[in-house]
Amino acid sequence: MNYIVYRIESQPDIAEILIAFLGELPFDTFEESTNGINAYIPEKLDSEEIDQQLKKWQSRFTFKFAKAVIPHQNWNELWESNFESIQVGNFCGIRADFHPTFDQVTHELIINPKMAFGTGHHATTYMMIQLMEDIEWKDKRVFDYGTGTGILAILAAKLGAHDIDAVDIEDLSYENTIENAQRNQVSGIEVYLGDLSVISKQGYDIILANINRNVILESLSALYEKLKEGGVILFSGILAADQALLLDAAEKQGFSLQKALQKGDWIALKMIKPVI
Amino acid sequence: MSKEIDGFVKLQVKGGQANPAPPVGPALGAKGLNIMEFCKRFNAKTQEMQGKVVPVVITVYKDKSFDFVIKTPPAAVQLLEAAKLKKGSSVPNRDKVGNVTWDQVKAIAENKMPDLNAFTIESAMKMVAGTARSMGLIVDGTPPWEGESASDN
Repeated sequence: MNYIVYRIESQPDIAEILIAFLGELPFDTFEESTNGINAYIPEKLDSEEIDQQLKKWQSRFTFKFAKAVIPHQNWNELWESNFESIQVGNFCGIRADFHPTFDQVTHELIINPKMAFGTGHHATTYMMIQLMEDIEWKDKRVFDYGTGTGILAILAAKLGAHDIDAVDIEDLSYENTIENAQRNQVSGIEVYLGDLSVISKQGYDIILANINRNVILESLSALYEKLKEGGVILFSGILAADQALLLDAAEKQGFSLQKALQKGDWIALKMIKPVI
Repeated sequence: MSKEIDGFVKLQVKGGQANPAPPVGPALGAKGLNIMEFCKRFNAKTQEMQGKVVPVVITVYKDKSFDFVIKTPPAAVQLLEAAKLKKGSSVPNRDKVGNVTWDQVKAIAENKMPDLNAFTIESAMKMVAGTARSMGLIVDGTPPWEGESASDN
């Protein structure tokens, strides 16, 4: 996705005020420059109204601005070009296509992330893979919520799941999951672009939810509806400080805790929807 | 032994909304850091400040690891937030002058004291009130020190 930078020349006190006002518009990030600030906005959210608004503010504050397009590129390329492969016990190894194959792992995944999230290096993904080891996958229906690179959906396919739906709200993740699924020669993964509302199906045996606290809290009731009775749900992307909050909300929803893992500041939970 | 520092990256990012696009992407990516790791950590740490502009200082180490510190939002951001609360509206009217109270100015001044070049809460409040006026916000009522000096006399 292309980005637009608004380069604003102003005194520091005006720059601070402009950041406050621009923060009310769809700008997401600001940085100080030598003579003011740079404000960044996704190209698809930029509009003539934003220019008009800035021109209006010029009557109240002294500043100049100019805009430029920053074409999309893989900013993470340097890290991705030399990251180390990673192993989750002997159960699973994750590598890029430039790494040699693993000697002693049961399941090998090749992930070229291209700025999507999920290589196994982060505790949240690592613990999901640890929790996936103890689950029976053969012929199961799986929903991967916030798939990122598709890493967990691809592992589910390798473990024998036959009908996997993977969704992500990011364009880059949607494209990357399709690429990585092909690279790993797995089938049975249907990839969707959007939020939870684009998934109308229900009756999943297993749900993977490696996202973040707020999205998980908002989605608990919909995820509960989508999971079969007796089904398993894995939660990750949660800080240890939020464990009690999330656990309480999930238990109120009807899920029952099976196992909790912690790695660094992060926790992951395995819960089930009890058979009533 | 402490790790050798390669440099600092100072940005202001909306809470919960860091993504690998510019300027986060080029600033961290050029140093060979895993941008996705930063975004995941930053977004989790700022989930209580969703959508609010927060300053972050990222320390990049020579071994390609990093740390970051989240600072309190700028006084102007907090003032705008306070004016919105007072109006009871979640949609700010960008052209209309808003109001804040001296209590709100004091709370913001206390919050920003470590970053302001002020020795007393009174001078910090004056600075915050000055920012408020520059923004077009009206500070309602009398400054507390004027009330105090009146009663002292």
